[in-house]
Formats: sequence, C-alpha cells, structure tokens
Amino acid sequence: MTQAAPLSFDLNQEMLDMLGQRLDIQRPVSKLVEVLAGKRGAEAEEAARGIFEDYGREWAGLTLQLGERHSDRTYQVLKEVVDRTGSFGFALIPQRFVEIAYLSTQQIRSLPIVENNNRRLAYEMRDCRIFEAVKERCGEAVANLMTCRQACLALVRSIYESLGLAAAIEMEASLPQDGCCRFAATRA
Amino acid sequence: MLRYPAIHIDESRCTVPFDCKRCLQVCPQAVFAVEAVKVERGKETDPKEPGAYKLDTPYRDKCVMCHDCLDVCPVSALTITLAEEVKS
Amino acid sequence: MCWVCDIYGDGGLWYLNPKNYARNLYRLRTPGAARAFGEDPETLGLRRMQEILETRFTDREEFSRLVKEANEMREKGPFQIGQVVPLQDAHKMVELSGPFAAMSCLCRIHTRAREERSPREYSCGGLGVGMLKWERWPERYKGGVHFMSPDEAKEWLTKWNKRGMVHIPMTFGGSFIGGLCNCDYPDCLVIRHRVDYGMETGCLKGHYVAKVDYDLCTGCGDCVQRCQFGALKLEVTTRKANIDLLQCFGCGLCETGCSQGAISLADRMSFPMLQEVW
Repeated sequence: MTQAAPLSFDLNQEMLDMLGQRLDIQRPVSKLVEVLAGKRGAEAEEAARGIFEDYGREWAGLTLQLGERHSDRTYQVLKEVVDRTGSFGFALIPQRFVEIAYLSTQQIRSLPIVENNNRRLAYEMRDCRIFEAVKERCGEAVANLMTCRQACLALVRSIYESLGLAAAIEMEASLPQDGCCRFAATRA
Repeated sequence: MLRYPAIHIDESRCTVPFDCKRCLQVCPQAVFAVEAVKVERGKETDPKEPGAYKLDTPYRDKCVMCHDCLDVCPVSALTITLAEEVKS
Repeated sequence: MCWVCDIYGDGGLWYLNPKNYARNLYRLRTPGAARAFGEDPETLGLRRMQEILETRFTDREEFSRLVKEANEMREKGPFQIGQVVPLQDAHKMVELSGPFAAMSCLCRIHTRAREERSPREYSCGGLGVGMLKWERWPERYKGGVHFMSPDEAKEWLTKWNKRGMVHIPMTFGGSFIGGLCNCDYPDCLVIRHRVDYGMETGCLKGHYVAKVDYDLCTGCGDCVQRCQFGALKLEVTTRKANIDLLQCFGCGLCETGCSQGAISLADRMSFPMLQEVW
C-alpha cells in the first residue's frame, strides 16, 4: 500500500491559477466602461455598484468552493484547533478564504493582515489591480469614487455569511485617501 | 586581569549529551548548554544518536570549579582548568 | 511609555496592540526557496547575541562596547524584543492572540536539556497563525504543542504564575508577538542575558513596579523566593519585605504570592526617577 504524500502547508497552486483565470478582474471593469458610456450620475453609480457587488459575490462563491475542495495542512490543523478549542474560528477561517481570494487575483505574495483575533479580522490592500484597471480605463476621477469597494465588501460579507458567522463588515480606509484600503469584520 | 575556567569537553566520549543531561542539570551555575547539530524539516532529532547533539559551555564565566559536573559525568568527558587571562 | 510602545504601541501599550498579533496564514513562495531552519529572524538574533556574549572571554572592552551598541539598536537590531508583564496583562494578551498554544520551553531544552512532553508540562506559550505549522519543525517543538481556548490559556498562565514564573512576551520578526514565555533565572536566556550581562532588548523592565504596604506586611517572607531579579528581600531590622524599585521589573510575582494583599503594582511612569528605567 502506498501512503499518500503529506499535504503541503502552502496553498494549492493549481487552485490559485484556476481562480485567477475564472475571476478575470477585467470583466467587471469592462462592464463598468459600457455602463458609464450610457448612463449619468446616480443611475451610473447604482449600476456600477451592482456590477462590483455581483463580482464580489461570485469571487467569494468560487473562492469558498475551490478553497474547500483543495485543502492544505495549515487549514486542516486550523480546523482541528477551532474544533478543539471552540475559539479562533471567527477571524481565522474567513481569513484563509480572504487570503485565497486576493492571492489568486492580485499581484501580491502575501496579504497584509492587521488584526486577527476572536473579535475582529482586518486586512489592508495596496497596489490593487482592480483600482488600477478602473483608473486606466475610466480615468482617475471615476476610480477615486471607489465604487470598486463594493467588490471587496461583498467578498468579505459573502464569506462570513456562507460560513454562518455574524459580523459587521466595514471599510476603514480607502486607497486614494489613505494609501491603502482596509476592510474589517467585527463580531456582531 | 580576569581569568575564567576553561571547560574541555572530549567529544569522543560525550556523544549523547541531550540524552544523558547529567552535567546540564547538576550545575548550580548553569554554565552548560546543549543543541542539535543539525535540524531537519519534519523530523525530531534523536537524542540517542551519537553526535546528534553537542554540549557547550556558554556561561563558563560563572563556573566556580566545584566539579559537580565531573562527579556525575558517566564517561569522564570533562576537564576544567583555569584559562588564559582575558584582556580587560 | 517605553521605547517599544513609542514605536509599536499606536498610543497604547505595545503588547496590547492587536496589530502586533496579526499575521497572514499564507505566502506565495518561489519554488525551492523554502527557508532552512535557523534562518528565521529570531534564530539569527539569538546567534548574534551568542556571538556578542562570546567576546567576553577574549576582550572585555569589546564586549562592553558590543552590548551597549546592541541595547541602542532597539528595533533596528536583529534581536527579539521582550518585556516583563504581570499576570493581568498576560491574560489580556491571550484575548488578542489567535491561536494560542502551550509547548515545550526552548530555553530549558537548551540550558538544562529539560524535556516537556505533555500539556501538563509545557511551560512556553506560542501565539499566532505560525503555530498551525509547527509540524514542519518537530525539533523546535519537541514534545508537540497543545492548543488552548482563551479561558484555558488564562488558567495555564495562572498555574505558571503560582509556581513562580515571570511572563515575557517576545517578538518574532518586526513587532509580531509570537511568544508568551514563562521564565525564571538562570535557565531562561533573556532573563539571564539581562541580569548577568546587561543585554536589555529581550527582557525590558515592565510598565509597573511593586510597592509594599508596611502596615499590611507581616514579614512572613513568602514573597522573597518569588523575585527572579534580586529586587526583593526581607529587611532584617524592620521585619518587612523591602523592594528596591530601581531593580524591580514589575512582574508582580511578589504581589500574586502575598497572602496579605500587602503588595500592589503601581505605574512605573508615576515615579519621576523610574520613567527612563526600562
């Protein structure tokens, strides 16, 4: 009988590649370009909001689905710890999926986590590819409206909802003003 | 001028210090330290493997030459002498 | 506030700042670029400290110079930062960490070849998501690790406090707090390096000092054996506990060991002559 090779502590690279392909960030941005061409003011903003929210939910759905299918040793131990202690699940289980979501779609080697404890999860994002794509194709003024935040907010909200964890999701800093976006989930 | 004891460890005799641990635990001045010579990923070093751990005396400036370690060493691996003077 | 708070506190105590406990679970690696054991920042810092300590056997002047230089490097140096905290602050730290694990003390393995092989024996605390990957280095975590809920971790800290251990949070790279050690002299490296050799960074004095209420002190002497820093004695003439506040590290062990409630912790900053004593 052959023994299965031990699971790596790192994320499955094929999974990350697959997510990267299926969650092409140019897709919502192209839709935004179309919408902005035909609509004005509040109507345009409402449509843009919908585009990014849809993208964020799809982003979360695929990340949860593939992330669960492709486990790793870090995740296995994490689940054992959460089961054993009844603690740490609030930040750390969602954190894994949030990290997968950004590592698969952004050009970063690691996601800066600024808080992860029993009460809160918070992370920061700099050099965002979505923000850059909006700026490039719709101009700086449109990018600075930060409608793209709806994607990240929907991502985190969907992940928490799908995992059955009640949390208030907020954006605490934004790229144009603060140099980075910061999103936080606080135990409700 | 300061003089410190020099504790000589005969490594051909002291081969399994982590497993033996007698001098490490008897020393009132805690002058000894022990460390795995090499650490491998996914593996615990075997304390009974000769040469896997190495004994050292990083705190020998605290040694008062009470010779308790010599008394407990089962392989007579230790000798203590007064060292050369230290520049101060 | 101490210099660590100035750099990493964001206006409060650095070891109660949630930011200093947060870390990513994953990092994308270049294939084949895995770090070997001993190349992590804390091991490199420890090696440098050992090199500096060795110079005392060849050149005392050079040794003094290197120690002074190391103390002044502060956050720019390669050394781990540690600070004595009382039990109540250690309990608060537990709430900020995720996850929290008990494990074998690395110092005691090193200096006493002491093996701690069950949760009952584990005397060192490991904090943060890095603990989830402990299986990579079983030699470091000799005897395994035991993950605890915050309430279990508080009980565990209280147990070691009762036995007379000092709590010291330690950084593992930058300001990340990866360890909450239960320490004593001489087997704990950072206490020994501070007390015997003046290497300050790994064992800074805490934000408190212990004061004796002479009206309540009965002179029983129970507190005397609990001080790891030589700051407390029973004064023969007055038959009361006497604490040298210049020597006190603010660990609070004398306080938790006093059955009369005669010792309490005061804010170091409330004493003008102690504000710069860390």
